[in-house]
Amino acid sequence: MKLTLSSLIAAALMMTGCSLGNTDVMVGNHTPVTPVDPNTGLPLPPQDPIPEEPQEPPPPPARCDMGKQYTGFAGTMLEAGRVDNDLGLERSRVKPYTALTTNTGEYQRVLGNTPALIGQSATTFGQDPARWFTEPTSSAVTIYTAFRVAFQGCLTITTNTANARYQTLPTNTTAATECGAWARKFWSRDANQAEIDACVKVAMVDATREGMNMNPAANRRWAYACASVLTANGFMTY
Amino acid sequence: MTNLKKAMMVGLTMAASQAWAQTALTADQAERCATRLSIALTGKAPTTALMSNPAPQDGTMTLINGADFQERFSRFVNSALNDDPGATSVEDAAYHMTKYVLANDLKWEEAFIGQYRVEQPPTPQGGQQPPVAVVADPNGVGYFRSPAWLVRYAGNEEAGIKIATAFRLMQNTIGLKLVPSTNAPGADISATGRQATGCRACHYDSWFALDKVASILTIKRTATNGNVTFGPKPAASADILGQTGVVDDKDLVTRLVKSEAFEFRACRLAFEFLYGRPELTCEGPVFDRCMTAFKADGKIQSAIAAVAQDQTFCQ
Repeated sequence: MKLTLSSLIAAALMMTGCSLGNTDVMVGNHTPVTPVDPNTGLPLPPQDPIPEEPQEPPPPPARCDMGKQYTGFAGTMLEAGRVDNDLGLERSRVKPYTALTTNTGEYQRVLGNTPALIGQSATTFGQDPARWFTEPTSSAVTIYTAFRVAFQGCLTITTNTANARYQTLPTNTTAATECGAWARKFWSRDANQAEIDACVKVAMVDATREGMNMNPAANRRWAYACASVLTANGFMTY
Repeated sequence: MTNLKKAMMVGLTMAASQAWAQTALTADQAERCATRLSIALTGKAPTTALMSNPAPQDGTMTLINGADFQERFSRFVNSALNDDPGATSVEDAAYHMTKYVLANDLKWEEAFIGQYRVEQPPTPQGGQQPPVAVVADPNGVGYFRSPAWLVRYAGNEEAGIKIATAFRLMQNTIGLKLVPSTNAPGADISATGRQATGCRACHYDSWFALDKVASILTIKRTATNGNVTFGPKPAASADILGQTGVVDDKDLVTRLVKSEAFEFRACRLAFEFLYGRPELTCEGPVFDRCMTAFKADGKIQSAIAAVAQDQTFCQ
């Protein structure tokens, strides 16, 4: 009964499932082993999963259809450089001198008369030299001159005694009514309450003193209120 | 998700294509629209008829076909294509050529490649100077070979290389914009100096390389009495615009005008004329409709009408 050492070793290996010479290590089919705290011998609680890298947020959806792309020479993107803005913005333009003057101009259209002063204000309103075009702009001088032109035109209306309502001093109520009517006529839209209030203030407060004259005539107070509406953005731009 | 995105894009495109369809305006909207249309197109106040029209954009072509529009747009083009008014009427060649194209209902490209010449007819003995005229010229290239325009933009390069002309040809046709860099006092501004770093990008390396473009243009010669004449071009051809073998000004301008960049420029001019500014990003679909209209018949009036008649113009 001789059990050689080698046979004992072979038997031991067989019992443990080892195969000499086989160095494969299969790690995918191990039965999961619950980790144990070596200090307590108790199973460790499940750990929080390792947080993933935060992903880049998706780009916001385009707020509008920006149209097609166009290619120029050497592959240049022709539409590049457009100002990023929505529809309906950056639209107002100052009315050119050619639209204000003459007997068919804007003052004639809304007042029924062309103030003489507009014919003398070509330079102020930026009349262009021959064969040239310049985008009109507003300045303190143009606004002041526009107010003088408007006052002259409005005074023609309020001086006309056929317009009886302008021969009587304004009240808050009558001023609000006239201011609303002027806005609709001059701006082609209804005024909001703040705009009416501003016009009423001109009639009831600002126009109650004209230089040293503490008692301007009724028609002049009306003309000032009228001019304030006629000098506003709603008329001076298109 | 991909199908949903595709459906959204189709919906956006359909919505955009229908945006031009006119919706009924209220009375005050129609008045403001009439005012906006009339002043933008003619510089004049709207007529009583236009003011009382519930759909004033229906009258757009009537306005565009009128003399007031021709005058206003010709002035506008002149100011867009030049930095200043000409010293004399004949130097405002762009103004006269534009007016001629509009009055004769020609394609917009005719202003740049048509066989014409802008000239000042001689004053008859004892008579008054006649107005500047656009005349037929088989050697003409729009207004670019008109004598007064050639002299105006011949430039002052010391060897007579017409760099200013080269720039103007591209600026006028495709709206090329360049920002000149300032030279230090005493810097070498000769052809050699323009090859230096900081200069050569615009003058020799880019698709619009000014010196290469100028090499196929005639040379300016100034006599002792100040008279300006033009000599033969220094190069047989040049590789510019990303293309090869451009031989002269006519070849150059023809290639410029037959490009999408020229069409794009036409619609940008339309926006600048009607809005006082270039198109915004969200006005892209309106711009696209302009491009479609302009490509259809090549007329600048069509481009302008496409924008002016769009619902967004009066919204």
